[in-house]
Amino acid sequence: MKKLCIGSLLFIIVIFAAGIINIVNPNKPSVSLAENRKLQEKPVFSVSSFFDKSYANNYSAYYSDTFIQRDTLIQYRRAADKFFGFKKNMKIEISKPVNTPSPSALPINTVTYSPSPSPANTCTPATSQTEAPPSPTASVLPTPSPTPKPEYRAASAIEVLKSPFFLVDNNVVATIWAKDESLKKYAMFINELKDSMGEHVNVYSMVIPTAMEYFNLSDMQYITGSQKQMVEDIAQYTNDSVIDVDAYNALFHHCKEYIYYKTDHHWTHLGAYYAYTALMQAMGKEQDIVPLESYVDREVIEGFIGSAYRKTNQDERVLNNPDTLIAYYPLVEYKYIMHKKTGPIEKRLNDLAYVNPNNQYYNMFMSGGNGVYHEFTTENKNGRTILVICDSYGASFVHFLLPHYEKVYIMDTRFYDREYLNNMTIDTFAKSIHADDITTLLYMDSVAYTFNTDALYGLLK
Amino acid sequence: MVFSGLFFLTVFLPVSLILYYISKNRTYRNIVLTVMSLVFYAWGEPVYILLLLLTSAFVYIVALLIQQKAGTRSAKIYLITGITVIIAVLVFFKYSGFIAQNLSAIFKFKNPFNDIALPLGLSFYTFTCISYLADVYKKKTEAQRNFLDLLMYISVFFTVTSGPIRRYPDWVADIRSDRETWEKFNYGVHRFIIGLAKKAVIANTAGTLISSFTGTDYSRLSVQGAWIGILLFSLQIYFDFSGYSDMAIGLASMFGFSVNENFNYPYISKSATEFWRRWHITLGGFFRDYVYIPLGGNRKYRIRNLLVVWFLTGLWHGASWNFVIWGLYFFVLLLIEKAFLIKLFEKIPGIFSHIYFLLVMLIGWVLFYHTDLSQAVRYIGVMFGIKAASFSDPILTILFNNNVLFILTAVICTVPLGKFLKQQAEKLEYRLSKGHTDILNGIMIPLFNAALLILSIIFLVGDTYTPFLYFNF
Repeated sequence: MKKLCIGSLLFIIVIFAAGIINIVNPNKPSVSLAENRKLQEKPVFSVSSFFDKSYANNYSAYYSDTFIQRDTLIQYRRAADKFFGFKKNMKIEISKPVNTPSPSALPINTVTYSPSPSPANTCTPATSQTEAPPSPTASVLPTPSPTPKPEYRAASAIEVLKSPFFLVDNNVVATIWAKDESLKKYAMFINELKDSMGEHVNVYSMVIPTAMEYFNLSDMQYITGSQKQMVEDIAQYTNDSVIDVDAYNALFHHCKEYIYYKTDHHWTHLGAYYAYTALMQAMGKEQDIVPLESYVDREVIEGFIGSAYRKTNQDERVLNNPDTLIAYYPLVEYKYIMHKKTGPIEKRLNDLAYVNPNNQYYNMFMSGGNGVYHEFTTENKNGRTILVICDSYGASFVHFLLPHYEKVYIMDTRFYDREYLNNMTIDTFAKSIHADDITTLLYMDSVAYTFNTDALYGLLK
Repeated sequence: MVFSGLFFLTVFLPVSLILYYISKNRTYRNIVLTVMSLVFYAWGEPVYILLLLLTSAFVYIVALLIQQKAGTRSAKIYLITGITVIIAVLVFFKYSGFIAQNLSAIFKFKNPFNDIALPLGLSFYTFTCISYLADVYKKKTEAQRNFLDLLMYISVFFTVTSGPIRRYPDWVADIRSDRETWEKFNYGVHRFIIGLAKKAVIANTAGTLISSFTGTDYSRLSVQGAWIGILLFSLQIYFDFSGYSDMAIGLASMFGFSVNENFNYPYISKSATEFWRRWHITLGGFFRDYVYIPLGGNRKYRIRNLLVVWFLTGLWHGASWNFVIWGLYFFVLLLIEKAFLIKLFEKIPGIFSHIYFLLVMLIGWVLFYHTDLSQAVRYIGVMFGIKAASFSDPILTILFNNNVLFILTAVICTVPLGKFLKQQAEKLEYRLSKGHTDILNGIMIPLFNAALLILSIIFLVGDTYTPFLYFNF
């Protein structure tokens, strides 16, 4: 071989072409909906960022996060997993649960829609749907006292999808192991936020467990961390001046209802409602809670295949088990401005344009929530303002806040944009809108890993 | 910057190649290589690049002084001073936290050195400098008079962060020669791609699988999980490190240099002694030539000399007791093997010695993996059923089934099967075409490499997918 061989030529072509295309590509994404996170922004060069290595690290992260055709390459990478072994749809029976489930106390409703069972459910006779569909007729009281002791959902079998996903009786759930360091970081964030806001602003901390927590996995419980413990740890790490909202128990009391999707990592609108009752309780406004039956106007959308389908390499067991999405309409008139990087734009809360096969139906709430922040002005002239610092769980929560505030601001931290906000930190922003109440609303994954909480804490700096 | 990063692969490397090959002028090319190496280093270590430059300047001057006073007592004093200073820097950055931590435990004071970070590649380039000074002293080579050429030797980006550890006499002839050939370039590309695939496809995947098997809480660990977990770690560390060495050798070759091999299928060994002839060869060679032999080698105090070497080998891997124990573990194994075990193995079928080796290697990796020794002991216990949660667990069986082909493929890649098949195919092609064709090396292997490159990029991009970061690495 006296000259460049074909292998070297191909190598040079590939690395040069990839480099050039990446550098000149003008359409770099800033958010990955598939991963539910903000992609690394192009870092701004400064002497200090260069010397503390953050420039180089962020630039490398930015470069790979915005690599050309990244989503497609990720799909290929995940397809490769299929060749790593023999996929057996092995089902593990869960040995007798400690508590046998009592039949749901709620009456099975007889309205026209039928969220479950879907036809596909019949293919797994070993499992049965234990959750009752939401009952629009049942009056839901905010955890009356004395409350009956809540029970976990019974589970009969567990199947391994793709780590960390499991299928528990047709419900896709993800295991979660919180990093203590991350929970502390979250607490640091909210403590410092409260300190900055001062005593006249109420700061609430609301962390939402994921679906897996409420299953009675009996002898298989070891496969996931205890979110009850995580919630307790957070409560311990937060200062007394921060009010912890007991969303954990509010959801626990209703865990046999349809409060989580089977194929998606979000809660249903019903789940969001129960968390709202917990927030109202924490605010000492139990008497103001709007009963669920008031929400008569709603959309019922069948055939929702959630995020878990993509995340489990298109597992058929997920596809064959679609969800029903029920979305309530707000009770009060409101004007909704979504502040996007490109400028403000008026929107509606339930955006049916997203109910199409190319979209995740959950994105119908707040049009996917892809805005730097969201501003709601209601017809209530009570002068009260709340800021919700949240992830995508917030998009289906805002409906229930509208009756109580004149102004509601939703800030999905993944879309925080300093440039758009004139370099404001999040506490400065809260002051600028004269917030009376501030609450976080984050599901457990958003607080369990330092990857997320470091970014959250960074909003204060 | 790491070789297996997308930015290195598609920006830094192409830019370096263009700037380098744009002119044939030797001085120009050497300057480009040096400047790009400094850029590479500063990207990862913007402050301590100063340390690299100062060390290089110091070594440059000391070597010239040693040469000037060659054969006299002064030369020896210069050598000892030079090595002492270089080692003092290494000790300060790498071990002061560790030393202070141990002293503070004894004398109860607050450790003031907790936050010292180890500058990138210091462990490697320190050794590069020591071997240079020693070789000048022993007159194995002339001291370099051109500072830029010496700086290139010390800082060159292929080896500055992770080796292989080079020797100046092997390097010097190439500095001013017309070293680049297409043949070397082609070979370099081949080696680089093999290394990249080892790292991106096998090591990274094994790395993410480990915690699925071992978890983080050993009270939940099953016997099966412990064995598969440490097997995965042994695959990860081998493919990671040997992949990195392959990339370094490949990059060097693209720029016309040859760098010594670092790995030679270590997992086919039949004893710990053989393993250390095949694993991280340049490190073993360094300790042999610059520690063991100067101490007296086999001639006097052999046991003491071996003890020192293995203590240092362990400590070199990290400032923590588990690495020291890991080094001493091999010291004991080597003594036992030398005393009688190897003689015994010669009399019985090879399979026994191989099983023995695999067992001691895996236990060695348990020590290496755990900086907390009590965790290591706990882990080894679980491997043999002591305080194990169960023998196996059903989830783990599924995970294993889902990854068994990957694990098998990785295990097969640790033996020279590919090399053997290539040789057989070459012979076959030669027989069939009487040497008139070169389809295998001319077309098939290049296409295979291109496929590996694409696969590696897919894995590198795919592994940036991070919806859940629940691994403790």
